[in-house]
Amino acid sequence: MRIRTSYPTSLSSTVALLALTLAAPATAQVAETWLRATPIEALGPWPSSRLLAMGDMRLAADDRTYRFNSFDYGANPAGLLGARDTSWVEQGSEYSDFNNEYYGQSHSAVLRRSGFRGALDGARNWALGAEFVYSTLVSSRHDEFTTQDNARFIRDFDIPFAASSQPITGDRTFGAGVRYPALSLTYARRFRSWLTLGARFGYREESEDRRLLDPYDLDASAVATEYSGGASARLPGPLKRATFSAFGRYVSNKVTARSESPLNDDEYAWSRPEVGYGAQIVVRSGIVRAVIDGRHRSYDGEQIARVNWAPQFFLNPFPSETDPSFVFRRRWSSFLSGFRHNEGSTLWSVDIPGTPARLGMEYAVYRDYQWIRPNPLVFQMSLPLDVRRLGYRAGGGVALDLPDGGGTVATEVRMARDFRDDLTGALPDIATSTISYHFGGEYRVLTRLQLRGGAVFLRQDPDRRDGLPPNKGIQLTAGAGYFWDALDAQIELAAAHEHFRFTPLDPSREIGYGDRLILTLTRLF
Amino acid sequence: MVRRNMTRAGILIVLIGASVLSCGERTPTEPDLNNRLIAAPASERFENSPQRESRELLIDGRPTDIEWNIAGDPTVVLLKGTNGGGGGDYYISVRATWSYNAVTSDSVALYLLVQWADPSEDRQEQPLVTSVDWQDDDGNSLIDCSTNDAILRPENWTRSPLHEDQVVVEIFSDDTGAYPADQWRWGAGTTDPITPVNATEFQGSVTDGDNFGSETHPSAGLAEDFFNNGSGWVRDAASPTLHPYMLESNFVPGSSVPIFLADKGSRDTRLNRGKPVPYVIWRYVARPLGVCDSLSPIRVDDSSVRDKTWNPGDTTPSFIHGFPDSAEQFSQADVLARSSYEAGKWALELRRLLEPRRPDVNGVRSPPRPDDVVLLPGHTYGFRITVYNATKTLGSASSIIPLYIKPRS
Repeated sequence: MRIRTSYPTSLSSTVALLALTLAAPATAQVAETWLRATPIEALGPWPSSRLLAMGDMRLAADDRTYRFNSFDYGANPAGLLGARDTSWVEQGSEYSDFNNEYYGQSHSAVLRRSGFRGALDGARNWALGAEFVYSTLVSSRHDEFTTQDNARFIRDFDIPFAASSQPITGDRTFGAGVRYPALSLTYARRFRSWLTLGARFGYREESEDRRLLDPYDLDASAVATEYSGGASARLPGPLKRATFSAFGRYVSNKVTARSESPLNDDEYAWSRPEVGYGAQIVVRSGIVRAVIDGRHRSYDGEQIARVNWAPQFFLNPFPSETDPSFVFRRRWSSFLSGFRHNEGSTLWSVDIPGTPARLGMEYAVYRDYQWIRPNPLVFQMSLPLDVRRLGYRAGGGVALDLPDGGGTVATEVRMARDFRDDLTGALPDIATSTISYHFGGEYRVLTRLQLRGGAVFLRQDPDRRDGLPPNKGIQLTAGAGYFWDALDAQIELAAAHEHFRFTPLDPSREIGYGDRLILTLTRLF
Repeated sequence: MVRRNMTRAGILIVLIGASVLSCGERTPTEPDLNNRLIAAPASERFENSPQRESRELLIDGRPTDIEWNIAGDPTVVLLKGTNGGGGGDYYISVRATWSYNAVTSDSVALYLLVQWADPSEDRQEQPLVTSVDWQDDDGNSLIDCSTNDAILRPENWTRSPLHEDQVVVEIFSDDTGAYPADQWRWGAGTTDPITPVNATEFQGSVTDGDNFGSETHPSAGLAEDFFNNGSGWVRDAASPTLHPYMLESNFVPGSSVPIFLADKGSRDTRLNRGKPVPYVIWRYVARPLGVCDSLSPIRVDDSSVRDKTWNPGDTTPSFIHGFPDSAEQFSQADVLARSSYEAGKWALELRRLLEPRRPDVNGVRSPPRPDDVVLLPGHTYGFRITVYNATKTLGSASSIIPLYIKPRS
């Protein structure tokens, strides 16, 4: 999962953080590509409906999705044992949509997903976690490269995209529907009082139905199988409040594009196995909790094309005569690809002594390099890509607990920047920036009922170098939590709505809006 | 201390190595498509059919296995819009051979066969479109040409945006694209129909001279010929006469009113000497458009249409076609080209002398023309082909690939 900061809403940094806690295979894939440049996250785990309802808090207010452990923060399977102190199960459903008309280029996406996750705790000596999520999305995008918004969608399109046999004289709308079920199993066991080992198996399958106004129809699918192993060790002596965790991961990742008709049967198989590794230091002392994380992941890959065109097929250059010698049957290497990602991040939460207040801070920096180099001699099956990205995010906030457990009020500010250096020269260097100011709170109306609300003020600049002021937006959030005795479970509901304006042309004109609904049901044992 | 440093260095090396760790492919594992064009030698008259009869490779747009198998497997070349102005990306098939005289062993000509897919056959190049309606549906005349010159008024004629399919072949002096270079332009509507007229069928062609080449390549059309010595493309030399080139505009500059219409002349019985009326006006039998020209040639040539007069939307070609004057003496008619279109595929045959020159005089060989690239067996040249699919500018071009004139072994 690449951490990006170019999303045009405040959710950008949220999803970036959530992306760190993946339970399913983590390689960027078909679904993520179709949601690129939207605030909707394709592969993240269940977002916290509580924090979303409180103004999309992440730093100041604490929640289960942001706990200071290597499982939730760093996807280290060994960290599952320390993630919670009891068995638990959670069911969640999410609906997200996003519509945007920045510079007249209308984009839209809708995501629906639902699933279960949970873990069995074996007397603090072992834990077994499982997750199954079924997601669908529909996305409609534009494919013109030389747009004023610097082709924000198509510029990083990194799944198969065939060249057109027809002249392309302008913008085309194209889209896709994607279904992608994913599951994972995680097991962690304590082998020594100071040492825990863990392993995870993950599987995800994506199938795409692409809509493209081109006679050469193409649909992509992807299968990713993850094998992860990790270890977590409590440090000795004066460092005993800290744990050191490390993990390694291998993801078998195959993206296959197919084009089938009565006159052709083509397959483009792209294998790009990914390796990743990382380490975390987690500190939990009396008033300080912190995570320091470093990680790397990379892949190299090659796409092999196998085309089989009948003589009557419109791309076959040979005569349209039923003659076996006129069948165009070839096999070739379409392109080579690669990806390198390095990232370091830290997250801190400090209780202010003698007060009911708490400070939260984060900082993260990443650098990645990605390339797709099509073979110039054969039919192009991907857009060329040669890009370097450097970005960081930072934020801080404060939360104040109300007396007698009456609730919490919090505020925080987050910012993220991303520098994109296009080595192909197709686009100028682009620097995106997002700043968001969050205000929200939770009020315990009854013992079992909490009401939440918040507001987020957004500043998103698609390119800081273009001299134009940023887009401005606001997000309103609301939600409730209820503990239902009959089920012995906590029910959470959150809703968010946001909209954007673009100042220079018409300050009052809305250029984008989005909605989000999350419902979760959690039971602890 | 030494061991500790060694350990640290070892850890550092492992970390640096791991930072570039990956297990995917980094180099292509499949062989590339053959991207080299080899012209195999063949006798100008060859025998490779089962019946062993004498054959000749004819430029007639009808490639047969008997003719072209001698060239070997075709080379499949990718054309890209990014190379040619924004057209689509697709493959073409190219075959090449060169011929020699079986008696004298002199090299003769280079032959090319280009085949590609195209969903539509486009042969009209910006035809002139009229808005004149000469008769109503009941056959009553709406225009009295003694008082109404509607057919000659500029406001009643426009130029259609339709374009023909075109191919441009460039031959460079070497495979890096060095100059001098030759360029041959074939147009489905402009150059393809410039074929010799059979003197038996049209006796007037002997006098008019449009039976040029009918005894050597009776079905071959022509391609325009350009030359570039490094300072830009210019037309090959042409006769300083009334008709130096094969194409002439059929409209007055600044206007879209046609100057000529297709006709059958005074000696023939068939309109336009059998040339397709929708996109050809054969210069030798054309006649000027007159104020009382009520008949639309494309309707006259179409027996399925009852109303033969001008109707809105009727077209007439925007060029008049013919052989360049003194074609043998000058370089304009060096390149023979003829195509066919069938079931969504074009097939285009081209031929040019390896060493273009004027006809021999008294048995003495003339020198090579100075405005053509001489092709020699054993040498490698640069070859680039551009296809324009019903467009003037949005072409699709190959990169410059090697063209090897394979010598006789």
